[in-house]
Amino acid sequence: MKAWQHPSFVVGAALSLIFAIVAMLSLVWTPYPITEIDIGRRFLGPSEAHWLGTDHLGRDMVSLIMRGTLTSFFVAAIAVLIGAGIGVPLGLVAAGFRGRAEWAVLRVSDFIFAFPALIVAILITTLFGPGAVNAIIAIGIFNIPVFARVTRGGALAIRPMAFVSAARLAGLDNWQIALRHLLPNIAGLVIVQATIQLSLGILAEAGLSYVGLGTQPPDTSLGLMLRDAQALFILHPFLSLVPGIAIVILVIALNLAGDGMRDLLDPRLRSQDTRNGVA
Amino acid sequence: MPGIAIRRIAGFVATLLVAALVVFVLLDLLPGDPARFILGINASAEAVASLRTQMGFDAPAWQRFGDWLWGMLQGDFGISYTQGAPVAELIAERIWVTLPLAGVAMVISVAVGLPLGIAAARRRGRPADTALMVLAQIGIAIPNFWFGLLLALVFAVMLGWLPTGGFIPWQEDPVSAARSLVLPGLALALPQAAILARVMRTALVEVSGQDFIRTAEAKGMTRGEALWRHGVRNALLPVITILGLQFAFLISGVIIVENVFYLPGLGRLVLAAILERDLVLVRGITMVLIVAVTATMLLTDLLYTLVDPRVRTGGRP
Amino acid sequence: MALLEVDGLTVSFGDMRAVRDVGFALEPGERLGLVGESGSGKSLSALAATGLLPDTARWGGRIRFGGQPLPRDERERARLRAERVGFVFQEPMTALNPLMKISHQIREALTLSGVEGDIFQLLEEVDLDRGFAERYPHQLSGGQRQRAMIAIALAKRPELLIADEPTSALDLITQARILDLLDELCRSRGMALLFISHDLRAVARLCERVVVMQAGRVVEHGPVAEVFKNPRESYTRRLVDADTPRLVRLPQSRPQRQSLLATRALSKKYSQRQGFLRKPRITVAVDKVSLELTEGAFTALVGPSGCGKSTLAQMLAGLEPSSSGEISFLGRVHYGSNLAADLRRQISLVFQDPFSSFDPRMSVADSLMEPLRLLPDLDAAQRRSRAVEAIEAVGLSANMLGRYPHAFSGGQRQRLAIARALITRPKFLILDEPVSALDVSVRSEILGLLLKLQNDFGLTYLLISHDLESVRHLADRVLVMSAGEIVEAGTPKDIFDNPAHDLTKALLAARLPALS
Repeated sequence: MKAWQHPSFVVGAALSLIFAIVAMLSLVWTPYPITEIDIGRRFLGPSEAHWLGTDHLGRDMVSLIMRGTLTSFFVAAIAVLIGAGIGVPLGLVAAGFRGRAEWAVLRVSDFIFAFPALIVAILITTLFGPGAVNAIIAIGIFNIPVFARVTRGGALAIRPMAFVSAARLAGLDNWQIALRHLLPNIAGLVIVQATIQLSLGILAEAGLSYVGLGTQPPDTSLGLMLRDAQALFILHPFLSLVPGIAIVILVIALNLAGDGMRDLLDPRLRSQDTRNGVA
Repeated sequence: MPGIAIRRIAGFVATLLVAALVVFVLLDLLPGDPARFILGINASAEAVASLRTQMGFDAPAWQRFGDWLWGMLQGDFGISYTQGAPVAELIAERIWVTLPLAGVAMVISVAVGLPLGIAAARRRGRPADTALMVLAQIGIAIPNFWFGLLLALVFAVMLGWLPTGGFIPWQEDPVSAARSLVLPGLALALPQAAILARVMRTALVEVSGQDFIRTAEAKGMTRGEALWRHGVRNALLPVITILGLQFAFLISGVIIVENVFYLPGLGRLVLAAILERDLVLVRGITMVLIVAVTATMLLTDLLYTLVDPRVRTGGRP
Repeated sequence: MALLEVDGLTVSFGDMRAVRDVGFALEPGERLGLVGESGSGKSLSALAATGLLPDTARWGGRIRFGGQPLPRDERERARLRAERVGFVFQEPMTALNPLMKISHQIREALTLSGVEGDIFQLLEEVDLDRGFAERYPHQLSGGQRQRAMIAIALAKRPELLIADEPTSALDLITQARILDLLDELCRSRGMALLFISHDLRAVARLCERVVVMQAGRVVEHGPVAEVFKNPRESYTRRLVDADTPRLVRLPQSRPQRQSLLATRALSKKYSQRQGFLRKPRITVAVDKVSLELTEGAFTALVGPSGCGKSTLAQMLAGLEPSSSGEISFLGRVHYGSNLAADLRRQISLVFQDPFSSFDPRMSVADSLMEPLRLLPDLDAAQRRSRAVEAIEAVGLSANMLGRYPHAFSGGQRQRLAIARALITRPKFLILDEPVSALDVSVRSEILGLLLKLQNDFGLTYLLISHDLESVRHLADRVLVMSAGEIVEAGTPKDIFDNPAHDLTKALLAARLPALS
């Protein structure tokens, strides 16, 4: 099956890409500066000048969403890089060396699961005060065991294959096997997981910023926009709806892309229906 | 079986000990002088010294750690210097909002998610399946606190069926207290239910391709009966594994959703404590949350052992 | 009136037609064999006949059971299976529900069929101890699970038993016992049997009539004795010929009779940690094995599954460190691991499963040349010419080097695996069941190739196999292994004509009689 024959993957990947491009665009251009406060034009409804209206400080919502998406993306992406950067090597070591190394990796991942991102964020914020970096670290730490487990599971499925034994016979050591045979064969799995963690990270960032443990003004993120809008929620629900819907669409797009990629990469799931009969 | 249970419980205790050590190092040792940290840079040296003595910060670190652990075992979490009350009391007051909320959300998400997942798997590829999975896809993407806002807008503001927020203690008006938890409970449960439905569906679809399902059909069951009697229990194994994790997310969710509905639970308490740099209070609440998360994982582990004989009898490597 | 009649059956998945215009009939009490290689549609035909096809399959044609058309209603079909047809499937490890006790799984079959039956009596009938009733599937061996599966099938007192490759996942001795059991049960119960297998001898052992299938079609059918003795179709002839491999050993000039490899008291123990405090459980896979292989010899290692022959091979190949004892290869001592490159390049291994033998993400050239890192002095051009030489030696062409593994059939992959094993020009080749994953018709080609290569390059072979027939033809020395020990050694003639050890006798007795 080719990628373009998987409609939900195409939709998801395209939407994700559009979000990413719009977010990157906000670095160089937004319709209005996001720090431009003008009380006189606050709470405007959608119009030609302000497509999504203005907020309680008179800032342009389109501009805020663009910059907010960038922050959300950025926080989640760095957290994925932290999680994959540490978790994938840990998982490879666990699967490649077994024994004590594996035991240690498994215990550490179990342990980290006892610290949901929110608890880590609480601890860091208490020490250093609020900030987007807290959210990155908190979500990143939680991503580590996720990647370690996915990597280990995938690598353990590859390891008993004869070509790994053949490589050992050819004189490759555990590290060389991990890099030359295991990693390339599980790269797809890791990329799929990264997409899913990206979407989870965007949700987590929103939650953390909403309770004040994440991104702080004057910067903005989709979660922080919701926090700002909360007090005005009954009078101006539109201010809550826009960033909320942006989050939902963004997360759906990433999940569709991730699920689609999984279908495309995993031939086993594709042929499952005919498998038990034809043999 | 008892051997496995003992091992799991030992692991649980070890996790808690290490977690306590991490929390202690972060909140007691890293700030340098906790008294100075609490009072701020402008406080006088005498004030700092007297707070230090009063809080027992003079003792060596290992002794303070030991005292803290020993105290917690006896239900003494120290005294909050911003609220001037024992931390244990403050937590006890609030926990009856947080835990019931998490519990209700967990029950609703299981009760809604699993049947929908099963229904979708049994109608795989048909319109009902597609519709359910589209719903689930949306449910997974909705931030629970924002969903709470939407529910409040519709059911409290527009329809006026339920309160927008606030909480009357259980002992004063249990009905009203319960009513206050309905919307936050739903806000937390439905996104979780979407995740559970998807996991359940995937697991059941996976199981349905396995040989023993065909054996069951060969015995004389229809496909539906075979899936129901043999498939579901096998498919529950991966579901149980993620239930523990789900609870961790739910606890985090509760902390956040309490803010939407102005519920006086642990979440609002801890956020206030962070702002006021109340290290003792943050420490206590964090530990309670970690115990709740870890204990749930222990329970799901034990449940798994109960369901799968291969773990019980050591058949799985 | 026929018990089961199938006429013009077609089964398709999407555009792929897996079964085309298949027909056969089965009288009450009759035994019919369906034979063919993988992908011939034999299993699908049997599943279709009882309404067990996967959801994605479409079928057409006429199926009548006891004179009545196969019900269109799913519940009616389920009732038909519940009351009249028993099934035994290929994979005993996965065919039972892992979460249910055996007794529970048998009782379910009794309940569904409405037959009064006694679980213990059923277990007795399949030679299982009463104690197994309260066990879970994972606590049973493969053979025991297959017996439990047969007990489930018998519970309903079926008129027809459908057995789909019921022994191909089992070892030789267990296979013979299960076949005996099926034979006896059909006789004592007057049950009809539809036996699906790729193993012609097993079909000849059990069945009266046979239907030969290829690529979804019936190519030949008739009484077993007639079809196997005088096959009319060339395809059937190929299958029958493959049963008795005519492998001609070339006369070899073996001037040296010197030792290539010897082991002294070689052992491998595995300790499995049960818990942090408990004592580890120790299993002995290989127990003080001492053996010697002479240069240019073709030695076969046989034994039941789990006897430790693969572990022994792994140690000899330098893939698994020994627990005690030593291996002396080319006069140098090693302990199963950390071999020097110049020693390692003298040893190669050909694996059983050709489909997992190659990294799917690497080109054939890259895979073949991987062992050349043991010869760091070669430059790129020399490496390339080695690869060409190796791939041509196994009868494939150099222009295939750029392709990826998925483009090759099982037999071709096994040729490639042999090419990879030869690329360092080793002296010693271990062949771990090199043909058992292949279709019978390509097996003798690969074995013939191995013999030719041995002759061309003066290789020393250690063949691990459970196929006694080919061992007899190929090897000049046979080692019999049981529970980690070598219990008997000798020339094939010695071993096959005068077996001394009980296990050897049991293995020989479990052989099915040849077709001719």
